[in-house]
Amino acid sequence: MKIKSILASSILLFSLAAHSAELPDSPPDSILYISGQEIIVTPLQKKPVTGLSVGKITLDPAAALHLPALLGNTDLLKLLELTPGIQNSGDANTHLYIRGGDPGHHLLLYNEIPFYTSGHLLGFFPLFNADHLAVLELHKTGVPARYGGRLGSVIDVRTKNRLPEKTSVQGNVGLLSSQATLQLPLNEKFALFLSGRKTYLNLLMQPVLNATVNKNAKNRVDGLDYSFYDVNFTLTGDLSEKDRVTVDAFFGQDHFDISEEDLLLNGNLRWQNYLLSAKWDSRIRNNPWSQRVYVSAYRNTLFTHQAEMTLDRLSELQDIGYQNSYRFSLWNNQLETGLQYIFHTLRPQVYSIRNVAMDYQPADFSPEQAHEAAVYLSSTQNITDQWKVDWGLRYNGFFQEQFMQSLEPRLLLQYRLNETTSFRAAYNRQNQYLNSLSPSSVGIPMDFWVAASRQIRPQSGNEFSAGYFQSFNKENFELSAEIFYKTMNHVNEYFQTFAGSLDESYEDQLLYGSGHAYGLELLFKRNYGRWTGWLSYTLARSERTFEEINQGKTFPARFDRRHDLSLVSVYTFNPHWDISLVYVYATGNAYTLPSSWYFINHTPVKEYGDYNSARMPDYNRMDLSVNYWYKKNNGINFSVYNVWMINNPVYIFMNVEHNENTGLIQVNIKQKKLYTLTPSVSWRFQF
Amino acid sequence: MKRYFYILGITLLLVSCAEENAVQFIEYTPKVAVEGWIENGFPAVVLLSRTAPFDHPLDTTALMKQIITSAKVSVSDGEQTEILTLGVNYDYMPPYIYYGQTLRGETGKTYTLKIEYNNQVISAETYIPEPVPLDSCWFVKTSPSDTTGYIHVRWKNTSDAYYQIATKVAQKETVYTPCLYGNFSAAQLTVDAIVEIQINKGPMLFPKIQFNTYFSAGETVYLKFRTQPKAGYDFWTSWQNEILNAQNPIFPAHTNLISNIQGGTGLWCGYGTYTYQIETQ
Repeated sequence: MKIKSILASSILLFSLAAHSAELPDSPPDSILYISGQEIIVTPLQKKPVTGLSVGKITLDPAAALHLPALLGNTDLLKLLELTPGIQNSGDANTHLYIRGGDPGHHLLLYNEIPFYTSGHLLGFFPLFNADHLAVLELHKTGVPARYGGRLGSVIDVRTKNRLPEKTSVQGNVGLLSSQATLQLPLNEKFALFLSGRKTYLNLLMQPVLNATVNKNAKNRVDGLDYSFYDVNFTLTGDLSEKDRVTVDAFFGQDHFDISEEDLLLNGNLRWQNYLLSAKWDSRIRNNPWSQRVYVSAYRNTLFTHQAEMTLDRLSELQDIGYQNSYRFSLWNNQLETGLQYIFHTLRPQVYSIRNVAMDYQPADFSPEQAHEAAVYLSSTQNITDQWKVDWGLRYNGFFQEQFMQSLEPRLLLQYRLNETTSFRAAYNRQNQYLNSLSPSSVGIPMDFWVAASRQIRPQSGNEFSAGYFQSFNKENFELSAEIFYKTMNHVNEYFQTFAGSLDESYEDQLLYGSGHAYGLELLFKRNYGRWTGWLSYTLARSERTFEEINQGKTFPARFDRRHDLSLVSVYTFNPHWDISLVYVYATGNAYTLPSSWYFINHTPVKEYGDYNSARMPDYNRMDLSVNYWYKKNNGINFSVYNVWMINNPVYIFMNVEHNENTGLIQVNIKQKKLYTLTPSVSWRFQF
Repeated sequence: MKRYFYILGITLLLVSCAEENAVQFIEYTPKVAVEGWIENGFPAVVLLSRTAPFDHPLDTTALMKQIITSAKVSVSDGEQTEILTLGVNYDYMPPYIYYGQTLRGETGKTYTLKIEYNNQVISAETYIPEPVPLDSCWFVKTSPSDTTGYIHVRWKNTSDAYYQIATKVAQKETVYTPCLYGNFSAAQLTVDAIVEIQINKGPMLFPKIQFNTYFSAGETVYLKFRTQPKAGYDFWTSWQNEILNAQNPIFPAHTNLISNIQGGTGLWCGYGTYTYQIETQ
């Protein structure tokens, strides 16, 4: 009866588990699963959530559909930002910031394959089409040894691979985009999943901007033209009782035009991802064994014309990889071992610059090639009924110009005091040989990747964490508290200027330093009843120290957030109607602000204060959503993003201007923001 | 049931009270800003001011208070030292200028600037590189009926120079303005080749904003073709980036100009210069 109630009301369900559950290849039916160790978000529910136990946090599958979403699009990654330790990224930002790390520090995987992307512009659209996905995992603490190559957390998105019983089409029709997913059983053993998404932003976006942002002339957003589409394809089937094959493909492309007449600037930006993989799951002596080959690529092209200068920039990265894994038991140990290899081909920055009649000598832009390989062994063992230990060891080798290697121990120790109380401690050592650099400090997706070499240093880091988990009232209420401390070596800050592109390579504009982050993460949630939800709070600090910045003084990282609070609440009236609310408060970003100005050559110029010494205004936002379900999985969603129309600027800049009428020289402060109150309506269907 | 609506109501009320926060200024610490140069064949020129705060507008009186008129400014070539004298020239901003008279710039020599002001000693060093002459320069209109056009210049590139092209329109402009992207390194061009480029008039923000990149027909344009030390090249590149890209969302500028002044900010620069006069007929 209780389970029925949960399903009918689509409430949020969480639980805490004393030990992390290993995800099966076919994902569980639960939809959002969060623990101190990992977070799993699944978009759809077929069965009730079962086996709620201490230490595992689970969200009802339909819950994501019932939460407010910008323009009606369910965004699983944005949903993660409402949980402890994952910082709010603000408006128009597509990066994810986890436990004080940089955006390039987390490993984004699509079916365990590295996925390189800058995200979609403006934060309007989810990175992935949720209808094609079966599960999303986030490993935040105690990262298993099978994951490597990054300094921070791991996000693994898994596509659907369970054979559907019948043909179905589901999707969403919204004001700015639509999506559809076809599930097609080919026969009793094979099935095909095909999804597509397309935006038609330009039809309606400019009227929205004109009605909101552009009312204030100082904050006008003009000349903005953006679109994207993506296609997901999955073919899966059983060759025999022991053998299953899965073929995955993904292709996505974004296109963005911008013009700023004030700056004599116009340009366009295109970025593309494609991915193709084939996986074979089998068994050796009845133990799971799998292997996969894949190719994953990212390409970003920019054309910019400013005054009389034209700049074309290309950045691309392609991975060709192979990976296998084998799981077996030995002396009451659950063991896993595997081999991974990636052949990277990179062209980080290819420039072509024209200035009317001037020809610049082309630099050497031949592709870079790097080899990355790893072997690992991990173990899970219940020492007693109360104690459990997970350990792992990963060896990495990387070659570009020179050979680099590292050994990474991983340890996760768990103690279960009783049915409702557990404790956990973890240690990770991680290394990163492929670094992400982002020229834009305001979220324009121009990220590119560079490989460690004689000039580019690899990054390394350590993370320690400890947590306490408690449930009450038969798991209806749950509380978790976790602390973490991480160190980061050879982190980078990248400073690229438009004119500096002429004669400086990216290596010249890269600075290296160290970083550390620490914090306390709290979560309190209610699982059952008409009124469900959670309250998440993170108190944290993330700092960097660079010899060349601020005279070597330690400074806050850009997304250092002292306070990050999220409230999520859903109230279900009946099977047809529910209402939900999200409230987010976060300390403002650190940024660099001018402190004074002076004249040079008859022109006022700014003298900036210490790097990242100023703070953007605190981020505040409340969203509301109402769903009307006229039948199962079919309904209308009404959402209002930023109900209180609070101005959360994307970036702030100051100019010194001479008022010719008054003779005054004054500072002009401009806060660029994209959207305040944004209502939307969308239709969700399945047949 | 009712209490839940109370909770919702209180939550909405609390958040609705959140106000948009104003931008908070960071602490203002004044610095001495220097704009000084010495050209081959000419004495030194130095403009001094204090950097002005961001938190309030300045009228003419307040602006004048930022100008430094009581400093002792000297320039030395290692053999002779000259103390510069203060004069007034409303062609410049700030309009009080320290002039040299006897010590004139010579190609290849190093010049040290020393400023003593308010118990501070501010210093910088530069040299005058070998100037490079233009082969020719001329004005081009796209069609005979056009009233505007561009100036083209041609010269033989050397191997290690840092060039700057600056222009001043007679009767209209009071100072030479570096051309748009007119600050470049010889290494960006083919060494020892004859180079021809179209120059684009540089942006001006004071007293009026002027972003036109072309010249009008019927003007007299003075053009300085300069060589400068690396410090000058870095400074003027960052200066142009600051002017053009402070609001650029793709490549934003938020770093200080690259200064060579010890104890202050700005530039002390030697130039190897050839000056040309062009009639834009």
